[in-house]
Amino acid sequence: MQDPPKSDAAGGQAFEVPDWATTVERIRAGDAGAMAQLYGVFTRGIRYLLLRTLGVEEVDDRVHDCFVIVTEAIRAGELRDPARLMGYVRTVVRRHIAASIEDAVTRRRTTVEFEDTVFSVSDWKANPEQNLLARQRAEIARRVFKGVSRRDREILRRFYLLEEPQDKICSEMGLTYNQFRLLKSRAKARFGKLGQRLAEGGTLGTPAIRDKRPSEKKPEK
Amino acid sequence: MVHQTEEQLEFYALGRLTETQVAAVEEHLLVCSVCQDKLDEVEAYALAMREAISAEPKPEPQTDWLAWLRPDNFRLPSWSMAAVGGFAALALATGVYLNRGGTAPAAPLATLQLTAIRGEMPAVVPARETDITLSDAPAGVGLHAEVVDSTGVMVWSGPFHSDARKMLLIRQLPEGSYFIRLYDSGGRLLHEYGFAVRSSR
Repeated sequence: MQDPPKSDAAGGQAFEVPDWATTVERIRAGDAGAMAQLYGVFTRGIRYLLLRTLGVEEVDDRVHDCFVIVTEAIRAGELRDPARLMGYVRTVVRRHIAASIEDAVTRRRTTVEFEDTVFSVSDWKANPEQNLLARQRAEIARRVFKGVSRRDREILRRFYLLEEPQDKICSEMGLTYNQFRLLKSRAKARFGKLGQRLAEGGTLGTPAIRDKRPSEKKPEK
Repeated sequence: MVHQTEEQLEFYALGRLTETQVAAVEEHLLVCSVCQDKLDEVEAYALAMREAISAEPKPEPQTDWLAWLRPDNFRLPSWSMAAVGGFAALALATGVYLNRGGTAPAAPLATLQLTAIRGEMPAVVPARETDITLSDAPAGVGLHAEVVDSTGVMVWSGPFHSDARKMLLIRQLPEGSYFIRLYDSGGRLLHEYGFAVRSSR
């Protein structure tokens, strides 16, 4: 199967990144400006990855810990390939995440009752606003799913729930790759529209969804 | 470096990239706020869709078993029938060879029983579906489970049936260590369980 065409606006477009090898050399030479540049560029990225996996608790401390590990490694000349600085940063972040999870699981297993003081890697998910948002999204997705044809529901089910490869789905369901992508794209667009409607008007407009249910159609050859 | 496509980000959100691909995406996410925002948007949709579909009843199998004979369902050119037959024979021979001493194929279904307070990590063989019993799970309505790998990446989420204390993990996991997180309907973490996926050989 051919590589999928890049239809989204930013996907596949070139992206300017600093010359990390030069940045590493400047840091090793004691250039404070280079340290500040590095801090400004990737602390947001480190924070983003840590929030996704460990939650908001102590995230600033964790970002700082990762940054210190990276800069100390740079100063000590431990980077074998300065141009691959981001690869090293990612490795540091991943090790930090793995260690935090292992520590949390070990601590949970040694306590009989769960208390507020026990560290939770997913405290941010207990946020009531996040929970409401998740429930709303699930409801919107359910309506999108119900609003497509039975055949399209099967395709979406095989991709999102059964996690079948897209080439298998296409070959067994008689789709071209573009038809498959179009189906997903339409479902996602519908999801976005319903979400926007909810955000603006506070309702999902159930009768409108039912009226627009598409009929069964054969795929184009 | 290039921006990530929406498709790559969706696969990342669903945990369906190889380790090499994950590394490339995450290295880009470290420095690109555009793709961070895009990932949040794509992930919200993909996970919501998976959640919604998992809650739907499984569709009834199609009763019209002769449907595959209809011309509009049969799109293979004539020469491919010989290729299909040859491939089937090759697949059979490969399966016999592999089972004689090569890597065992994944089982269709495996079972696993876990408790939260225990030191060891029970292991299960790779399987397309794993029926997991959480022996000491609390009762409750609307319980939800997530499975994360050893690096914290979520690889599966779905409903937990508290009456039977069971969940059905519909995903073949690679070998490694995993953790199951059990949440109540309000999103509060209740229990966490560890297990490993290992081949029997």
